[in-house]
Amino acid sequence: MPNRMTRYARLVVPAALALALLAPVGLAVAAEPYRSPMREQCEGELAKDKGWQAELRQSVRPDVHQEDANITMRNKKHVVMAYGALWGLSVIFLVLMWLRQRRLVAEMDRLAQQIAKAAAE
Amino acid sequence: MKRGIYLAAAAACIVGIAGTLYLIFYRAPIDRLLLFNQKIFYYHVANAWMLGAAIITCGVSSLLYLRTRQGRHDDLARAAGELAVLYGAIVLVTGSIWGKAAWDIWWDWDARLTTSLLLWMTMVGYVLVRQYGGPGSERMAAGLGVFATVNIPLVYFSVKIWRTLHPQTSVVPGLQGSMRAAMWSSVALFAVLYVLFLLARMRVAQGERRLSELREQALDAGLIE
Repeated sequence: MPNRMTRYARLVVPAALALALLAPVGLAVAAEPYRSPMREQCEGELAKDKGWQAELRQSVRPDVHQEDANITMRNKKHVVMAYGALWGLSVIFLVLMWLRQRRLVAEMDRLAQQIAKAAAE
Repeated sequence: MKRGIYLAAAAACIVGIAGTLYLIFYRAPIDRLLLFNQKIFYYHVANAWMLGAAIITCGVSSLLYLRTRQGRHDDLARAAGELAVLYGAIVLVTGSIWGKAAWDIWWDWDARLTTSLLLWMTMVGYVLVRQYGGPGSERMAAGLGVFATVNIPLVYFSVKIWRTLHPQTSVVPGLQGSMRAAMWSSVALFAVLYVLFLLARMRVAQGERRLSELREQALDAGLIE
């Protein structure tokens, strides 16, 4: 039994070490995006074929346009929110100040009436 | 005469708003990194500077009031204190919206954001003390105003002292061409608006003080109960 365990250990330990050493290499290879070996050949062909270029451009145009529109709309929403908040808060401040001034004028009138009434009596 | 000056300044502000919006949206180019969101920057920074101006005005007038006990210094401090709350709210709200656009978060406990929030809360405290503190609260509030002014350098240099998400203080001096024009015209517009708001609010504060004095005199003379 111990002999069998030792035999297994002899197999498993080097295999685990090899796996640990090779894993980063494997991950690096896996992380690298696929690059077609035909790319240069295709680029050369594409540069020569103007019709193909136009077709490709036409086929990606809706997707690119949609992505740009999404970014623009999202940005626009934030800019509108910020400008709206800024002027909204300023207007609230002005309205509150105007209400305070109206209340002050009313208080002054009331005080003047009270004084006039008291003086008349 | 004074009314004419106010109206002329208000008209200049309306033209200024249209002018700055034209410069920001039609003349200044789109920023390569922040794209269209960067348009928030011009008004956000201008309002942040007005926040600083309002707090400094409040602090200096509070200090003068504590030394001289003259009501006009207190009126100016009160008006500037309320404007500091307004500009602080604008800066925090527009900054938060910009943060959502640029960093995809509404708020972060970053040094600049946190110190700005604390500064704003100090000024809210100032206004609350003035409003509900009762007799003698103007002296306590004046102390708060001076304390807030001392905190301004901490807010300004927070981006240099700590590592923050917020852009550095070198952004504005580094602006070029039409971006620079949009920035400085926004600062000029909000500076004029700040002075107008300050004068208008100060007039109300002076009226409140006058009313209070008149009421006391009438009470002393036995004219009112």
